[in-house]
Amino acid sequence: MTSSKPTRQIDAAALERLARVARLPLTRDEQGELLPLLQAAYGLIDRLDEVPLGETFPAGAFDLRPR
Amino acid sequence: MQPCELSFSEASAALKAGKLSPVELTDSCLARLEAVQPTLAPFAHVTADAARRAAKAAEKEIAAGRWRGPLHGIPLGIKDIYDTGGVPSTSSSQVRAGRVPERDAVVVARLRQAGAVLLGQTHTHEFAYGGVTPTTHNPWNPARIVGGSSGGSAAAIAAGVCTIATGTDTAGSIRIPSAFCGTVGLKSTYGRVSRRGVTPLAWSLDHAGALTRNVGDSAAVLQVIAGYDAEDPASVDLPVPDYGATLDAGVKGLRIGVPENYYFDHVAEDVAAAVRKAIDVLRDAGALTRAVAIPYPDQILGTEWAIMMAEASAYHQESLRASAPLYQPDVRALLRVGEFILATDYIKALRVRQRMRKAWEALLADVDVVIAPTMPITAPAPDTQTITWPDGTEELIVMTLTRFTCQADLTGLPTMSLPAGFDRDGLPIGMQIIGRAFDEQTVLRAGRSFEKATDSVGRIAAP
Repeated sequence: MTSSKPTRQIDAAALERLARVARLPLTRDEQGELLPLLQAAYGLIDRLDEVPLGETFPAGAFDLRPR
Repeated sequence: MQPCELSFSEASAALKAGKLSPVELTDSCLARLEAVQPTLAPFAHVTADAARRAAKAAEKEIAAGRWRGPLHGIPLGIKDIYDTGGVPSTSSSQVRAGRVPERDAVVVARLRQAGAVLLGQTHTHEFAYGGVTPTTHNPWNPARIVGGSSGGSAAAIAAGVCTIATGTDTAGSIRIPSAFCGTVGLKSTYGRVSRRGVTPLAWSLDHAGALTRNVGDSAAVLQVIAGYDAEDPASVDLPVPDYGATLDAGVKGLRIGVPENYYFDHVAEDVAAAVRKAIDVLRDAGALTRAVAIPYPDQILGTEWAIMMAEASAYHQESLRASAPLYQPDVRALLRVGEFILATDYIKALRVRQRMRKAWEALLADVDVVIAPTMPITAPAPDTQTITWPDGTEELIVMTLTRFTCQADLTGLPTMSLPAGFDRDGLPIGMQIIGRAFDEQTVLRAGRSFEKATDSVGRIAAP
């Protein structure tokens, strides 16, 4: 299944706003250093949209004992 | 041969029989440590005096007929992410410089109770958040990385300092350095070993365990550290089986799943060849093989990174703001980026994780274990930023280092890395054996069969 959601496009301005929302002080240089890593992370996470999840529960904490 | 070069089983038997003193063995290990520490730096903090006192006490007890078990008098290292009472336990970070906990982590306490002799704290990649361990160098080639985050433990074992050292595994941190340094590393089932007293990286992914020189050591140390702990919310109250009882039962009839996707994509030629040859060795010993399809291959890394980054950044949130300059640049960057993972992304990753768990449960109904390369490559140079594959694909090294290991942290399945051979440059190649939940016995049995059939496992790098 292919998601209809577009891949996230994050630029320096978007990162600056995200940092403000997260109350994370970052200099302009630091923002520049983080941008490629954040783009890579979102690129991976966006692949999760391809999985149809329906009523699937989240596996937050789980007990692997055989049932 | 120096006492520190004895295998665990040889040393343990000699200690029990009174043919080797724990003091003699500990002195030998400390001498080897003193020789390699300047070039390899496996340890963050050495507790030589305390180790000699513990060895002396073990000597007296064994001589008096009070042998506690196979680990009695055996020197070992503790990864610096574990709390050791009265000893600087800093997660190899300036953020925690000078931190000395009062109490032992549960695993450390259990090892002490079993009579083990603690040599000190081994280096970790800062806060266990990385696959390099930049403080430490690879005993097989000091110009290559040891892997991480349990890199100091792996280097100590490979250099002949000790046969056992503790580790933790959140995205592969026991198995990555095991593969790069030619040691055995067992990440047991999620819930099998308590994490209390271990600095968390990501609570829902963190596993505590050990790296060892051989498979038998791995069974012996798991026997001691496994067990229920009501204070660790993930701990599971299940009886601990006798891991030694089935260790030598062989692999006749064992059904091995061989991945037809993912684990042999974008893999160094020598690595793929060595692992396929290792599978042939087990087939020759009576195992059966069948091709299996790895579920959700395109979501493994995204699921891991969404969960790990969000949980790690939540744990470090206050400290990151108060002490940002004290973090190493790579860890600081990961923690900052983790602040930007949306809650909906995190929950979605947990839901995909549930799908993965179910798919692996179904996969392991048809086979007993799956065998695959632990790492796509052998140990790279420290300045490696990307890997370029023959088809032109360029991969960030941070992805290369976790691509094959993190699914076992997501599913919680027991997985052991052990040396399958060596590449054309003499660097160790790791293969991993993935088993069913709480079936460490089968994983150990398969590893032991391979160990007995080859000479890849248990080697020490020339000092």
